[in-house]
Amino acid sequence: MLLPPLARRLLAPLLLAVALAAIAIAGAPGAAHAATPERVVAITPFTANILAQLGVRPVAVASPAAGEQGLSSALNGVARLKLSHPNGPNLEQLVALRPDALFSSPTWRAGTPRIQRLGIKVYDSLDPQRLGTVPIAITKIASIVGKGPQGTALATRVQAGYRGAQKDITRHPRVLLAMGLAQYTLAILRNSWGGDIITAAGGNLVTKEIKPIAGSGQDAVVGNLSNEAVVRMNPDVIIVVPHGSPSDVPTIAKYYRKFAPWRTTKAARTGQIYVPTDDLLLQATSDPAALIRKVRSQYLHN
Amino acid sequence: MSFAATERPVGAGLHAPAPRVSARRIAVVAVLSIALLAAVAASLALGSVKVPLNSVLDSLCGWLTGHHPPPIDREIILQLRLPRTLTALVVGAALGVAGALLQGSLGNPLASPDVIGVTGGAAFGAMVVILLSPASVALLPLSALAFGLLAAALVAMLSWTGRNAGGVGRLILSGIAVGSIFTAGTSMLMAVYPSRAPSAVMWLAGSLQTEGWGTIRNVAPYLGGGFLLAIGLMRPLNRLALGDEVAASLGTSPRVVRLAAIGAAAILASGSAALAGLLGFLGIVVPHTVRLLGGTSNNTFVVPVSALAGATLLTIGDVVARTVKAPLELPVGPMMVAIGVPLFLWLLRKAV
Repeated sequence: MLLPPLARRLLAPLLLAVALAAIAIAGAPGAAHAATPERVVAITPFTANILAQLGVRPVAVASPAAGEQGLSSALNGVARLKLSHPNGPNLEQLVALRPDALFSSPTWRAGTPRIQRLGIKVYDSLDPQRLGTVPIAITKIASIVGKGPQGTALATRVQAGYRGAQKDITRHPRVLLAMGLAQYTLAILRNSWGGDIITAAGGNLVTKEIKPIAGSGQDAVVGNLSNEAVVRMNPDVIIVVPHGSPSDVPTIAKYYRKFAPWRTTKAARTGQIYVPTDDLLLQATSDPAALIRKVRSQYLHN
Repeated sequence: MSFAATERPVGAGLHAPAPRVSARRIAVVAVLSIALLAAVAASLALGSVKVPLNSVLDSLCGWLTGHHPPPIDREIILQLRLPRTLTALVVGAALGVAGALLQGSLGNPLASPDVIGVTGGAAFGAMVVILLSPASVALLPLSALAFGLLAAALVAMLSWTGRNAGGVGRLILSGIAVGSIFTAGTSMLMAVYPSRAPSAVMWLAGSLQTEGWGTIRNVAPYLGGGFLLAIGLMRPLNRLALGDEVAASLGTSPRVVRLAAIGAAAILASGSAALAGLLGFLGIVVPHTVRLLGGTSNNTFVVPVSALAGATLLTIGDVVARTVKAPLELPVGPMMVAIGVPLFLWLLRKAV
């Protein structure tokens, strides 16, 4: 189609103006804003604490199921979000916070598409599921929030910390790590956060040879273990992480210490059935060294 | 009394000459008895841990033979497998009988412990402990039992008071309404305590993983009472099958028999839920299977043989659930459905 002469003369300057405008928009603060989120929400204790250590104050964090002691004091005063299965945060509350990015975890992955549709960038694979992935997760989180150098330093420090916590182990007791679900022994298997921590602390995980029923993902790290197998495995130490508030723990501990199917195990006979008041053996912590030291001193005595 | 008129609409297409039916029933009882013995033997001999057969026998009969197995084998057999096998037998029998009583007393082929609200009530009772008060975990079986009975009592109260009291339709609708209330309560608790929901799922899927003899000891008196009541109800239920007016003319009060049958079913189903979680499938399918196999709806046959069939099916299901992925265990509910439903559907195709 032929254009009138005037239009032809104006076309080139017009295209140039459009191109310049596009470059200007791309270079504007708004674009930088999209690349480095300023308003972030973290719904796992690990991501929230790492952000705090990197000097980033989230606009909101999730209320930890096991109580506030899992969160850094630097997060005091930050808004708390309640989570519900399976989607995680309430979408209306989340939108009201106008976040650019959300740090989530595979636990809440079901909600990721809905949050992404609201224009919020979601990072749901940066909550470590294994001890060895902690440094990688830290550097990636740091890189996303524009704190690359600080992230590298922090990752190195954390890694050196948990390696140091594994030194001078004197004994390797056989350990059963389970979730306290009434009379069911939902055992933590190998390739899990809790399994890695027990192993790093010098424990010999009795479930390490068990092949999970689920092929992959979070469901592949737990299994409903037969109590016959517990009797035969005869663990020296049993650690049961219960559901319930910390105030319930003494009563729950009493139940498991008298749990009839375990009564012949060495753990029961020697009084080494432990029930922690937190869930640090079930999900990643930003200070694995402290957790390993705690497991060694309080449960494994090595 | 004669059972000529006791054929019920359920399985009514299975008439046959009396002597042949009799032989058929004997054959059904014989086959089920052999299957039950085999299931019990498998349940004691197989598990997630391999225990040599001589250790199994020595553990069970050591007092006779004077042989003593290794302590761990003995512990596994006597403290884990034996109470578990007994639990499977008792729960399977209880649910089979509960279903037979309800279908017999209400004349409804869809009647099961779900219909009188027991399942919903027991589930709520369990969730109250698991989700709301995990510290009271030791009370889980008793809470399930208590709420199951409470639900049945509410249903009975609602259907046996006011106008048209004791009507079957009113009872079923009351049961569905009360069951819905408790189911809603369960859903609400699971939504409010999402982090504790995995425990709830384990219980709801049904499992015979018990704490050993302690739980059975606590629940056994209730189940024993339920079974005794069921035995006493077999003949009155046959009279009820002739119709309310005929039954009344024979000296049987239909309302009293229905109430007693519902009470017995509620006790049996609540006790079962207390021991093994929700295994509602047994309550509805086992009595139908027994009617189809035996070719009769006579309750003196259906009630005891439902106990036999329920016990057999649950014991087999449990052996499969705890051995197929050993040392991990699968929930017994889905396993039992996988074994029982194909058999039931095959019988249904042949009979109807």
